Amino acid sequence: MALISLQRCLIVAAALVLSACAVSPDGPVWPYPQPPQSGGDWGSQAPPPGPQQPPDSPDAPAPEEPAAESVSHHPTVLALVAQADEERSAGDLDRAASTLERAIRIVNDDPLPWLRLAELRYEQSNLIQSENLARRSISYAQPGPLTRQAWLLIADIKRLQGDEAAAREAQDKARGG
Amino acid sequence: MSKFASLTLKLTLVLGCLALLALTAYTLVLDQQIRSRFAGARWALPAQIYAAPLELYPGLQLSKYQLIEELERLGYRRHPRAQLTQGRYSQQRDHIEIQTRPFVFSDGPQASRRLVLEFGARGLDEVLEDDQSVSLVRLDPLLIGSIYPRHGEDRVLVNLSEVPALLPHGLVQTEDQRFYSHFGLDPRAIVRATVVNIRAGRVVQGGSTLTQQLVKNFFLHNQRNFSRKFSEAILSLLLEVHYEKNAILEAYLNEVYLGQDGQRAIHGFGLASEFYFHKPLAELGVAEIATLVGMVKGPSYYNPRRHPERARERRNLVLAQWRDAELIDEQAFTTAQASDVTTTGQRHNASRRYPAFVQQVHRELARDYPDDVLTAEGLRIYTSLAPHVQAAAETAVVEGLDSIEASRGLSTLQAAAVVASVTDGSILALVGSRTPGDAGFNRALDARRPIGSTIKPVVYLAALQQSERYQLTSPIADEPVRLEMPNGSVWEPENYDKDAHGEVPLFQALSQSYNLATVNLGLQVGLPEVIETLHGLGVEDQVPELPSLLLGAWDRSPLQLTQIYAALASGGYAQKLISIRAVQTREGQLVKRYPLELGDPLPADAVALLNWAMQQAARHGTGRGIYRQLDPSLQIAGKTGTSDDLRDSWFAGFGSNYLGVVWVGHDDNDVTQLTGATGALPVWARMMRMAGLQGLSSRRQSGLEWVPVDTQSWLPGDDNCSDVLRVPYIAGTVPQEQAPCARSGWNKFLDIWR
Repeated sequence: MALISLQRCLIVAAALVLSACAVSPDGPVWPYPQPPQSGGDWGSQAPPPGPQQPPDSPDAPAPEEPAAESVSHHPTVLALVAQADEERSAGDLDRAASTLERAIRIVNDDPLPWLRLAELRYEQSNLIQSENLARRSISYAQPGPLTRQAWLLIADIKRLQGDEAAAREAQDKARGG
Repeated sequence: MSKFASLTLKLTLVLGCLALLALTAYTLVLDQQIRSRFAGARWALPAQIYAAPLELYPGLQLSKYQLIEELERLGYRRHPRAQLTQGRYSQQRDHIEIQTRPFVFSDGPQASRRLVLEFGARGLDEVLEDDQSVSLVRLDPLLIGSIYPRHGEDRVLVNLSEVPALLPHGLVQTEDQRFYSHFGLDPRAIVRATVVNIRAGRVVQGGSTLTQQLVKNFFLHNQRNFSRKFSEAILSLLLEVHYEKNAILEAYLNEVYLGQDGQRAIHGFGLASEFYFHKPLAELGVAEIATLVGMVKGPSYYNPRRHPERARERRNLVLAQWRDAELIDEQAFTTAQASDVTTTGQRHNASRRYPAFVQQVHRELARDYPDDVLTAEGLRIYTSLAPHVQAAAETAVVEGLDSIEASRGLSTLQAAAVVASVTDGSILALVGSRTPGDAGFNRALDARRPIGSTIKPVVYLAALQQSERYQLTSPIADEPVRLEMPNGSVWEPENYDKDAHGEVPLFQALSQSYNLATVNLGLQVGLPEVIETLHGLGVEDQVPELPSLLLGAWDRSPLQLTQIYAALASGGYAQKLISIRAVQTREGQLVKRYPLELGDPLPADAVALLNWAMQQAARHGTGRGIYRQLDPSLQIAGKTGTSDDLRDSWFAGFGSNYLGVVWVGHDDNDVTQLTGATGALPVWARMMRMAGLQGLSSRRQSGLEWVPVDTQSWLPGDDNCSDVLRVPYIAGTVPQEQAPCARSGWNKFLDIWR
C-alpha cells in the first residue's frame, strides 16, 4: 500500500516537473503506466454481444394448435403462445408474460393469449389479475373449449378465495350453464 | 556581503520549497479531480427513450407506403438492391427488402436481419428471410428522446470498437497527428502554433492535443487565460499517466462538443451523427465523417446546417488531408468531395419531435426513479409511442385547426389529442399543442377544462347497471329541471336547442345528447351512483357531488378523460394509462417491466349496452359527422362534448384498436363558437382515419338478447311493424309490453276480439 502511494507520488511529482518545464525533449519519452484495473475504464470494457441467433425470434413455423378449436387463431399469435409456453416451462414466467402481452397487442381480440396470461398470473399467485384476464378472455370468445377453461380457472380462483358460491357458479358456466 | 548572499540563498531555497509544496498540493487536487471526472464520464449518460418497435408479420394491415414512411423515420436509406447494408432498404413495386439494424430489446437481442417483405392489396402478405417464411420480426425502435440533466448535456455513447475505423484515424490525422506518441502535450505543435500566431499577430492556430482538448471539454469550457492553460497542461499530463491512449480517445469521441440544439448541448460523435444526419454513427459515409471531424475546430462556425458552404470547404480540407495520409483512396476522396453537405432538417430529429409524449414518460419515470439516476445512468426506456399514430395525430391537429379557422374566420385556436391502445391502455400518441415539437405548455396533460357532454356515457352506464330498472329503450323525461342549490342559487340547465323533447328512449337521450333528460336520469339514478361508476372506471381523485357534474361541469385534462374512456373501450376494465413498457440498464439488463394490468371490471353486459348507445351517437346522433371522413362500414363508439358558452370542444371515441380524445379551445378560455361536433370531431375523425382505426367487432356478446323494437312506441315489435330497430337487452330484461304494431303474442290474441 505504502509502496503504491509512494509510486503514485513519484509519478505525480514527475508530471509536476514536466509541467513546470517549458521545454521537454522530443519523442515518446513518457512511459505509460497501466490504467487502473479496479474500477475498470472504457478501454477494458468487453465488447457488446455480437450478432448471435436471437433467442426471442419466433421464427419457427407456427405449431399446430394442440386442442381442436372452432376459432382460428392468427399464426403469429400461435407462434408467440408457443414461445411463451416454452419460456414458462423454462421457469421464466416474466418473460413468458411479456411474450403473451406482445401477442395480445398484435391481435387484441384473440381469447387465447389472454387466457394463457390469466393462467400465468394464477401460477404467480396473482389471483385478482388472473381472474380479470380470464374474464376478458371470455369476453372475446364464443362459448367453447376456451371459455370452459377460463371458467374453470375462475372457479379455482374463487375456491382459493373461499367463495364457494361463486366457485360453483363459475363451475356451472364451465359446463355451459 | 557573503552573509547577505547566504541569507538570500536560504530564503530562495525556502521560498522555492514552499512553491514546490504548493504546486504539489495543487497537482494532487487536480489529480483527484481528473480521475473522478474521467470515471464519472462513463456514467453521466442520459436515459434514452425509445418508441414501440414496429412488429412485422404476415397479415399486418400496413401498406408499403406506411412501411417506407416508418423506415424513413428510422433513418433507413433507399439504395439499389445490390448495395443493401445495415440501415438500408430497396424497393421494387410490392417487394421491399431491408437490412435491419441489430438491437437489444427489453426481452433480448435481435441481430441485423435481411428481410424480404411482400405486400398485397390488404397489407403485408409475407415476410421472408433466406427464402424462409418468418412469423414475426421487429424493426429497431425509434429513439425519441433522452432525459439529460439541467445543464443540458446529451449524448449517445459509442465504443471505440464499434465506430467506423476512419473516425478515430481521421480524427487523429486532422487534430493531433502525434497523439499516439506524445505524453499529453505536443511541444512541437505548441512551438509551431506559437510561431504561426506570432507571425500573424493573433491566434490562428492551436497547438492543443486531443488530450488537452478533452480536458478542456471536461472542465474548462472556453476560457482562455494563462492559469487555465497551466492547469490544462497539468491535467493533460495526469490523464495520460492514468489512462491508456485508446481510453482517452474513446472519452474524447463521447465528450467533444459538437453543437447546440436549443437548450441541449450536443456532446460526442454518437449524438452528433443522430443530430446532423439522423442515423447511427456506424452507418456514416466518408463525407459525413469528414464533416463531423471538421466541425471539431469550431462547432458553430462550421455548423453544416447553418453554414453549409463553410462546412463543405472545411470538410474537403479534411478529406484532402486524409487522402494525403492515405487514409482514403483517390476514388473515395473524389466521391466524397463531390457530394453535398446534406444534413437532415430539424424536423427529422426525433429526439425533439415528441416533447409532449416524452414529458409524460418523464413524469411516470419520476415516480420510480430519482432524477440523478435518469440523467446519469444511461437507462433505456421502452415506451408505447406508435410513431405512425403520433404522426397522424399531429397532422390531424395541424390540418384540422387550419381548416376550422379558415371556414369560421377564427384564429389562435389550440388543441390537444391523446390516442391510446384499447387493448392495454398504453399511450400511443400525445399531442400537447397545435405546433408539432412545441415543448411548451402541454395541453394534453395540463390543460384542465370542463368536459361537457363527454361525461354523459358515465351517467347512462350508472343507469344501465340497474338493469331491472333501466334498459336502452326506457322512457326518460326530457323536461325542464329546476334545482335550488344549497347556497341559495337556482340551477336551470337547458338543452342545446333550448327545446324540451318530452319522453325519449334512454339511448336516444344519450345519442342526441339531451341535457334535460340526462339530468333527470342522473338525479333518479343518484349522484353517488354516478360518482361510484366514475371510480369504477378508474378515476382516483375526488369528484364534486354536484348536479352540474351530470353535464360535465368538471375539469379534466385530455389524458384524464382518455382514462375514463379507456375503461369503456376495453369492455369495462379500468386501465391505468401508461407510456412505459420496460426499463433496461445500459448493458441491457432488465430493470423493470410494466405489465398489463386490468382493474376490476364493471358489469360487461351494461358496458356493452352503453357502447351500443355510443355507436348510435356516432352513427345517427351528435357524432355522426365522423362518417364524413371515416369509412361508413366501420362501427365506432363516440361522444361529443361542449362546455358552457362554447368555450371547449371535445370528442372522445373508439373502435376496436384505438381510442382517442381531442380537445379544441382557446388558451385564455375565450369563447370559440365551436361545439364538440364542429371543433374536436373533425380533428378526431381525420386523426383516426390516418392512424388506421378499426371498427368495433360485430360479434354478438353472449348474455345479450337482440330484439326488434318499434321506433314509434319503443316497445318490442315484430315483422308487422313498419319501422324497427334491433336493440340489445341484457337477457331477462326485455320489456313484457309489446308495441301496438306487433301481431304476435298478446296482440294477436287481442286481434281475435277486435
